[in-house]
Order: sequence, then C-alpha cells, then structure tokens
Amino acid sequence: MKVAAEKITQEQKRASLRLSIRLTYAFVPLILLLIFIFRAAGFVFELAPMLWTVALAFALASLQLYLLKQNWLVDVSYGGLLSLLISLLIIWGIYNTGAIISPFVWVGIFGVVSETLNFGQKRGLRLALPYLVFLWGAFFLEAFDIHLHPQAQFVPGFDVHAFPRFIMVLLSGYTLLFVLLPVITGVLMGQIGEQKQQAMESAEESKKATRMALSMMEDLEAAKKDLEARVRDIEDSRRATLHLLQDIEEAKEDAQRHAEETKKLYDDLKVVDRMKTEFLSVISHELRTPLTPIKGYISMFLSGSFGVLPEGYKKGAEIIKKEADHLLGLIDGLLDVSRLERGKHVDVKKEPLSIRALAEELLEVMQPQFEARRISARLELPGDFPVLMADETKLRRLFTNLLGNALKFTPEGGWVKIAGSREGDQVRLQVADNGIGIASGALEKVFDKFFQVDSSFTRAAGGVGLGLPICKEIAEVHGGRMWAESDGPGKGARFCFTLPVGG
Amino acid sequence: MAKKDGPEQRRRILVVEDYPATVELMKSLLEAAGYEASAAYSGKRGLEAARAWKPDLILLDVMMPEMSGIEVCNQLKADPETSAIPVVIVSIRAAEEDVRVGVKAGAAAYIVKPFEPADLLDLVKKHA
Repeated sequence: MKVAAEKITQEQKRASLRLSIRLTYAFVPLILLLIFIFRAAGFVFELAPMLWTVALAFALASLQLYLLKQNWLVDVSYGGLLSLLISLLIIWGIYNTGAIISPFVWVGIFGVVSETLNFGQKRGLRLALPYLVFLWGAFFLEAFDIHLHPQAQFVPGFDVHAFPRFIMVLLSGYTLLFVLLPVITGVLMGQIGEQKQQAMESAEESKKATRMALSMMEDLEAAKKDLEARVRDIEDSRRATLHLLQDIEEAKEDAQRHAEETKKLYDDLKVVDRMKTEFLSVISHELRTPLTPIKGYISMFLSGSFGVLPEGYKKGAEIIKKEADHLLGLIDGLLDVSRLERGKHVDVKKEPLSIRALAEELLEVMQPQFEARRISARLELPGDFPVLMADETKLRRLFTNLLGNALKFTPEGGWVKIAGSREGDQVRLQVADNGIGIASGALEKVFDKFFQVDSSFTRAAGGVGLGLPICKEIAEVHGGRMWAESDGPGKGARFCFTLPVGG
Repeated sequence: MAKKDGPEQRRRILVVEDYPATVELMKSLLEAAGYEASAAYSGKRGLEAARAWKPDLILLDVMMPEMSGIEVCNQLKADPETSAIPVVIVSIRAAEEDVRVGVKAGAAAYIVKPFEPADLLDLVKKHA
C-alpha cells in the first residue's frame, strides 16, 4: 500500500522530518559498528574519513533539527536538497582525505530515506537518482583517470583499474540499495501508514463508538431523569392517596363515632321514653286510687245511703262529685298521653266490629245525659253498612269522646247524630251536631294536643284538651284519617273520619 | 259455696284490698246494702280469711304489694276449700288485657275503680 500523500500538512512534514533526524542519529552507532566490522574483516581504510562522515552526518541532522525548530524548514523537501548539497561539500572535503564512496553512501542513504519518509517513494527515488549519478560519475571519472582530487580514491585500498569488477559489484550493490531504500522505506512506511491508518480508523471507530456510547448515556440519563420524575409523581400521588385514605379512615371513624353516639342517644331516648311512660302510668294509678273512696262516698251521700242529705250538704256533695269527675278526667288524660304518644307501637286489636251495635249501645248509655240537656240523638247508618275489622276498645273511646264533645258544645234543645256511609274499601263516619261550631281557622288546630277553644268554657265542661288528638290517633292507627268540618261559629260541627273496611 | 237461705242470714262479702279508705268505702257500701262485710288488707290475709270465714263472695283488688290479686285468685281457685267462692275483681287497671288476665285467673266479674257504687252492688247481687 502506498503511503497516502494526498495532502501533506505542515504538521506531517515536521513529523516526518523529526523521524528522519531520529534515523540519522540512529545511523551513528550503526556506522560505527560497520566501521568496526569492516576493520575486523580486514578491510583497511582510513578511519579518519569515516569518522568525519559520521560526524558530518550527525552535524547535518542537527542542523536540520535546528532549522526545523526555527521554522525555517517550511518545506522539508529542502531537507533532501540540503543534504545533497552538504554531501557534496563533504565529498569535496573527504575527497581530500581519500575516500569517495563512503560519504556518498551514508549521506545518500540518509537523504533518500528522509525524502521517502517525508514525501513518499517516488520522491525518494527521485533523490536517489542524483546520488547514483554522482556515484557512477565519480567511478567513471576515476576509471578514466580524471582525478578530482590527487589523494582521493573511489574506494580506498581498491584501485579502480585493478579491481574493476569488485568495484562495479560494489557500486551495483549500492545502486540497488539506493533504489530499494525508498521502496523498502515506502513499504515500511506503508505498513506503518497502514497501521497508522488502521489505528486512525480504529481510533475513529472507537471515537464514534465513544460518541455513540456518550449519546446513549445521555439518552439514558434523560430517560433516567424522566423516570425519576415519573417515580416522584407516583410517589406524590401515592402519598396523596395515602393522605386521602387517612382522611377517609378518619371520616369513617368520625361517622362510626357519630353513629355510636346517635345510637346511644337513641337508646337513652328510648329509656327516657319508657321511664316517662311508666312514670305516667304509675302516677295515673296512684292518683286514681284516692279518687275511689272520694267518689264512692260522695255517691253514697247523694244517693241517701246514710240518710236524707240536707240541702247544703247535697249541693256541696254535688260539687265535690263534679270536681272529682273532672280530676278523674284529667288523670285519664294523662294515661292517654302516655299510651297513645307511642303512636304506631300501640297494639290495634282488629276484630269484627259492628259500628251500628257500638253506636246504638253508646247512645243508649249516654241517653240520660242527652235527656238532661234535651238534646236529641240519632243514628243514621245505611242498612248495608259493613262490619269492620277494628279495635273495639279504641273505637269505643273515639265515639265516647266525640259524643261527649258534641254533648258539651251543643246548647240545650240541639241535636247530635252519628252518620256513616261506605266508600269503596273504606267507610266514612261522622259525629255531627248543631252546636257552637268551629271557626275556619281552628279546623285543624282543634286536633292539636291541649288545644282548647275557650279554656273557661271547657274547664266547666270538664276536659284537658286531649280528646280530639286521641280520636285522630285512633283513626290513623287503624289506617284512616280524621278531620273537622264546620259551616262556621254557631253553625254546628261535623267530626268526620274514615276507617278501612278490611282492617 | 252459697249459704242456704234458712232464717234470713246476711250474705258474707270478703273485701281484699290494701288501701284503707277504699276498704272503708266498700264496707260502708256493702253494709248499707245489707251485707256482712269483712276486710283483709293483704293477699296472704285474704287467703287465710277466705279459708276460715268462707264468704259468699270475694271482692278482690289486684294491685297489692307482696302478692298480686291475680296470684290470690289463682290460689283461691286452686284450693278446693275456696274454689267455689265467686271472685269479683275490683281494680284500677282498666286495660282489656288486664280484664282478660283477671277472667283467665277465674274471676266471675271485673269492675274498674273508681266505680259507681250502684254498679258494684249490682255485681255483688248477681254473683254472691
């Protein structure tokens, strides 16, 4: 492979020159060795000229080095030319000491090698040419007895005429050397160059590989950063989720605590309610107990069991009786409140009940009371009025209350009637009177607990204001409803309620 | 066991009631109506009196300390010596359930306090 010499940079020239200088320095011991060998082999020649050659080669190399350092050797081809000129000088000088061929050879070798190294085989060969011309020229001059210098010999110790063949062989050998030198150098350089090329190429490769590796590393670095960023995001959202979970946990615990508190409150409430109910029940029983003898004796007084009662006693006894009844009414009211306030918990014992029979019975029982106020009472039920599934006790109370109210709030000479009709799967009943009526604004209020139209009036009539609410509850507990109707104050009232037929 | 009416003998009514005022009332009422009334102020004493005195009718209160009237009624009916004596329960408790319990225990009748004296006398007349 030829040495690539497309573009020879300054740097390359300098490098080559340095190399040739190094080679020159290397020649020095080589030359000395050769001198020694030749001398040992018996060749007798003047040592001085050889040594002078060596010295001058050395000097030449040093000069070139100096020039290089001084940047005078811009184009190192001058090196070859310079060596040529200097070698001529040397020749002239050596010539005077007797040896011709030697300086030529040494300097020539140096020059050719240097030139080849610097500029390639072609130029090396080109430089070899003048050397060869000089060599052969010197020989032929000697052969034709043209002595350039009286004392110089072409090859010291060997007369050209006496040993023509030997000298010609020698010359040929040197010629071959000069020709081969560039070639060999070139080859060597080529190899070196190849190696250098390969080295450069592999350097390039490794540089490329390094660059790729670097870029990959950069990509990896970027990917790593990206991943880290993502991991951080995940970490953040994980932490956020954890916080959320904690919040949810806390909220759950709060909710649980609230639920427990609520349950506890509810339980407490139930207990209190039960206590209230029991209290009311006990109280009502306790309060009723003394009323038994009170009412009993008063009755006996009034009925004359102990004899005729004087007028004053009679009047007093009658008042006591009324008050005792009133008191009993209040106490019963208390019991009702405690019982019915439980609402739907109240047992409704539904059994077949004939409203007709119940109404007739009640009207009969209350007959004396109606008669006392000259109030006419009647029952208006259609013949096919159905038997209901209802709680008799409760309906008895309901009717008793309504009839009692009608009696209370109807003036003397009025009327009270119980009427009813069937409407599909329920019945509609009413207790009507032509009494003091109800103002339209009070139609709903009458069912409020403790509502009293006129407390003085109702106190005289006897009542605590619980009758109607209780009636309404009874109707509702059966699955029906109750309401009041009136054409206005003084125009009577109708208390209506519905009950399901089938219960 | 009802006493045979030989020479006009007053019917004997035992009042078992712990509230003294009510006992007084019932005794007055019964005696004014021509009965012989005796009182026992507790269930235990009532049982003893019933066995010893053998009344024609027992007026029995329910709400008594130590022994409830229902318990007394059960025992009266369980004891052959007293099982034939009619029992009328005179009680504050007015609920239907209470009446049912009373009847189940063997009472012949049930009246609620405070009662109309006339009503009580009617029942006594009916069952004694």
